Amino acid sequence: MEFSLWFLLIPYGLIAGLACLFFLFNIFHIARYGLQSVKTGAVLMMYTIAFLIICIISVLLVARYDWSAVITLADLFSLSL
Amino acid sequence: MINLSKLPNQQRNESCKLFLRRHWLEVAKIVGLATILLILPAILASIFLSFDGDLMNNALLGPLFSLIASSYLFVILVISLNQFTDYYLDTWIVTTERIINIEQIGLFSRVISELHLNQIQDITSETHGMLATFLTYGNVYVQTAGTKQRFVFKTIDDPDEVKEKVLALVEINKRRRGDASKPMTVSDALTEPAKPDTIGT
Repeated sequence: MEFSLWFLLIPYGLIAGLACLFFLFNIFHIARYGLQSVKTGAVLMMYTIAFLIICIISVLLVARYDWSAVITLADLFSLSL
Repeated sequence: MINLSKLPNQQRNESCKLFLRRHWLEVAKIVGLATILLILPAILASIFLSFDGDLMNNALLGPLFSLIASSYLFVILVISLNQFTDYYLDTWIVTTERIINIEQIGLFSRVISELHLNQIQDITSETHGMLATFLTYGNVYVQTAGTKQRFVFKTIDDPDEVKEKVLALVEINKRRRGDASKPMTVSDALTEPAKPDTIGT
């Protein structure tokens, strides 16, 4: 039995999607209910920069591997730790 | 967005005197927690990898590890952003007429309540602990008469000074508007003119 590595990207995609959704919720709340000031602008910018940094690190980590590769059950059991 | 010069239901000549948030130590806690949550697994992973440096090149464990690390980063980010939003949107506004308490509870719950200054009977400030004493932060409790309502300015900077400022505003307001914090006496009730809906009943 064999399976493609890209199946592992499904839960990762879900987590990344949820993080994106929560990021947008946070941005909305700060923009909608925050004080009208320069500080709020700075907070929004800080949120965006933090999110972009995490996205870039994540892409760099994930892009190192060939996700079209196929793993067999024999490979799984022959893992040497 | 909240504009301090255009508050909801703002009265004529009402102006904002104090805008309060929790102490900066709360931000330090959020940053500290995020830093620990980032550094600790990184140290553990580096120790783990030092035993078998080839682990990241493994056909399955390498990709799996990278996905777990990426997901973990997203989770830490979301937790930190939620905590900071909660901190940033928890505010207290003291005007010449009232106190507005805005409390953000999580992302999807928000409570806004207000209290007129002439209803305030008692204000208490408290500072507990060594750190709170050195960094001058604590709570201020605002109590109205006879009701359960009690506003709490949580972990604000310099609670004693805030208490004094609010007390001064309360005094000025009571002189202008009358004291609504005292229970009505029999003589007050007798001298008070009858309300239109009670006439004839």
